Amino acid sequence: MNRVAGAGLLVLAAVAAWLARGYTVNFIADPVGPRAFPWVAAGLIAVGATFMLLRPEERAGPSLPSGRLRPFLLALVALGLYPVLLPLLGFITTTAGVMWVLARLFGGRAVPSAAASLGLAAAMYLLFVYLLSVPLPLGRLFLAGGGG
Amino acid sequence: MSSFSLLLEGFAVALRPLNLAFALGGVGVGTVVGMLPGIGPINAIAILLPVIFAVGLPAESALILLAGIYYGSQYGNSISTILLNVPGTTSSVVTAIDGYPLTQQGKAGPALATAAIASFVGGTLSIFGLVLLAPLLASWALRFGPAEYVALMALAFAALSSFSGGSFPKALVATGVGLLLASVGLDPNSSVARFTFGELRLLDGLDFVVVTIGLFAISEVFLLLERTGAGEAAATRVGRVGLTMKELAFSGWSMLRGSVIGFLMGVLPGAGGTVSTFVAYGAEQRISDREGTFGKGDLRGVAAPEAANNAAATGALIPLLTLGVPGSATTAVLLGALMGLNVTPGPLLLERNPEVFWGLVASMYIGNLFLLALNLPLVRVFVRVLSVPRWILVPGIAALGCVAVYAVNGSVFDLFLMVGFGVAGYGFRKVGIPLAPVILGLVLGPLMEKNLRRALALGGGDWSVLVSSPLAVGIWGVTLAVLALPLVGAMRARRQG
Repeated sequence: MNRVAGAGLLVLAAVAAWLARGYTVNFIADPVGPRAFPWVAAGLIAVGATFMLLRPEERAGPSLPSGRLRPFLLALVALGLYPVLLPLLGFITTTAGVMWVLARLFGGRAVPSAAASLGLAAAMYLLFVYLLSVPLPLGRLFLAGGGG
Repeated sequence: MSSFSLLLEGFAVALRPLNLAFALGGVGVGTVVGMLPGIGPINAIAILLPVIFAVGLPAESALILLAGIYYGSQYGNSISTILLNVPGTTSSVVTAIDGYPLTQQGKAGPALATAAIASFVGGTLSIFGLVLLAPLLASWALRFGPAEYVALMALAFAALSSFSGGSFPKALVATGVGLLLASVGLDPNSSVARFTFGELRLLDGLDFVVVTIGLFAISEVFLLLERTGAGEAAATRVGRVGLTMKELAFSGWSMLRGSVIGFLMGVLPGAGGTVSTFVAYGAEQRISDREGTFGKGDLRGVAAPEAANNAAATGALIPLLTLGVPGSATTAVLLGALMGLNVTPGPLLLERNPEVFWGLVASMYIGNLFLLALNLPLVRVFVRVLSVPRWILVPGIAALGCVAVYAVNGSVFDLFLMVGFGVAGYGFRKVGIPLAPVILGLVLGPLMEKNLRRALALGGGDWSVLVSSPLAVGIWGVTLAVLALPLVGAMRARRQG
C-alpha cells in the first residue's frame, strides 16, 4: 500500500513539475515567476513519496475495505450522480434520493429512511432558501414540464 | 491600561444581543459537533461559511460564532470520550484513559463535571494569556518583512509535520499537496493560468470550503461506511452531574497546571491540542499519582488534559490573530474564514479591526460561561444527541456538505470537485497521510508565495535575501531544529530497539 501510494505520488509530483515548467514570464520585477512555487511543492511531494517508496512502514499496512467495496462504490456513485441530477430534478428530490441511498447503506430500513431523507431535504430547502436566502435549484424538469 | 479599556469596548461589542446569540449558538453547535462522530469543528465551520457569506454577517459577529464552534467543540469532545470511550479527535484520546473507567464505575457525572469545569478553567485562564501576549507579539511582528513571513510559515509547516506524531515523509507529502492545490488557478502576479487544464471554472482557484468539505466530511462518510454495524451509541446513564467541594479541591490544582501547560503549547505552532494533553497528563501523573490510581479512574487524570486541551485551543488563536499564521487545520480554516470576511489577521489586526479582536476576546469569556452553564445542567440533553442513529446522522452530514459546497458559487462543478477530494481524502487517510497539512498548505500557500516573491523581488532575485536579517535567520534556525526533532527521536528509538 505504502509503496503503491508512494509511486503514485511520485508520478503526481513529476507531472506537476513538468506542467509547471512552462509557467514563465519575463518580468524583471518578478524574478521568481509563477513556476518556482509549484516546483517547491512538487519537490516536497517527491521527497516524501521517495521515502514512502523506499522505506514503507509496516504498521500502516494494507487496510482497504476488501470485502466491503460494494457500499463504497454505491456511495460514490450516489454522490457522483448528485451534481448531474441536481439541476434536473431539483434540490429536494436529488438530496432526498442521495440521502436515502446513504441511509440504506448505513443500515436504515427502507421506509423510515425515505421519510427521514425527504423530511430533512425539505427542511434544508426551507432553511437555506427562505431563512438564509441561499438559492437552491428547484429543478428544470419540474419547471419545464409544469409538474412542480 | 489601554488593553483594559479596549477590552471593555470589546465587551460592548460582545454584549450586543445579536453577538450574544451567536456566542450561545456557536458554543451550542460546537458542543454537539464535538460530540458526534464525523463532523467536528472543521466541517462545521466549513459548512457554515457559505451561509455566513450569503447572509452578510459583520466580521466580528461571524468570528464570534465560528470561534464559539471552535472552542465549544473541545467541550463536546470530552462528553463522547468519557461516556462511550469514543474520542472524537486525537486531542481527547488522553481523557479516555481515566474518563471511561470512571463511567464504568458509575461516576460519569463527576467525570463530566470535572471535564466541564476543567475546560472552563483552561479556557478562561488562557484568555488572560491571550490578552497579555497578543498585543506584545503583534507589536513585535510589526517588524516582520516578507522574508521573515516566509520563514515563519515554513516554521508553521515544519512544526505541524514534526509534532503531528505520524510519519514525517507523509506529512511532507501532505504539505506539498496543499501547496500545489494552492497554486491552482490564475497566478495573481503574472496572470499565468496554472494547473487549470483549460477549465475556465478553475481560473479562480480552488475554494477552500470545497476542498475542506471534500477532504474531511465526504471522506469521513466513506470511512464510516466501513464500520456501519459497529458503534451505535447506547444511551448511557449519566447520574448526578456536579462536583462536591472536596472533589473540586482534589482536582483543582490539576486544572491549573493543565491550563498553563496547554496554553504554552497552544501558542507554539503545530504543537497544539493533542500534544498538550499528553504532556499535561504525563506531568500530572508524575506530580500527583502517589497511590497508582491514574488510568483506573482518577478525576485528576480527566482534569489535567481537559484543561490543557481548552487552554491550547485558545493559545492557538494567538499566532493566528497576531501573525496571521495558523498552526493547525482548524485554525487554518478559521484563517480562510477571516480572509473571506475581508479581515486580514496579522500584526495590524489589533490596530485596524480592534472591534474584531477585542469583541472576540470578550465573547470568549462569555462563551466559556455559557459552556459551563450548558454542560453542567444540560449534559443529559446533549447526551440524547448521541443516540441519533447513524443512518440519519451520516446522510445528514453528507447533505449539509453538498448544500454548503453548492452555496459557495452556485456551481455544480464544485460538487464534482468535492466528491473528487472526498475520494482523495479517503485514500490519504487509508495510507496514513495526514489531512491537516493539506489544509494548512492550501490556506497559507498563496500568502507564502506572495511573500516569497515579494522578498525575492526586493532582493533582486537573490535567494540569500531570505536569510538577510537576524530575525529571519533565527526563525529558520528554529525551523531546522523543529525538523530535526523527529530525526533525533527516530535515531534514539533505533538505538534502543
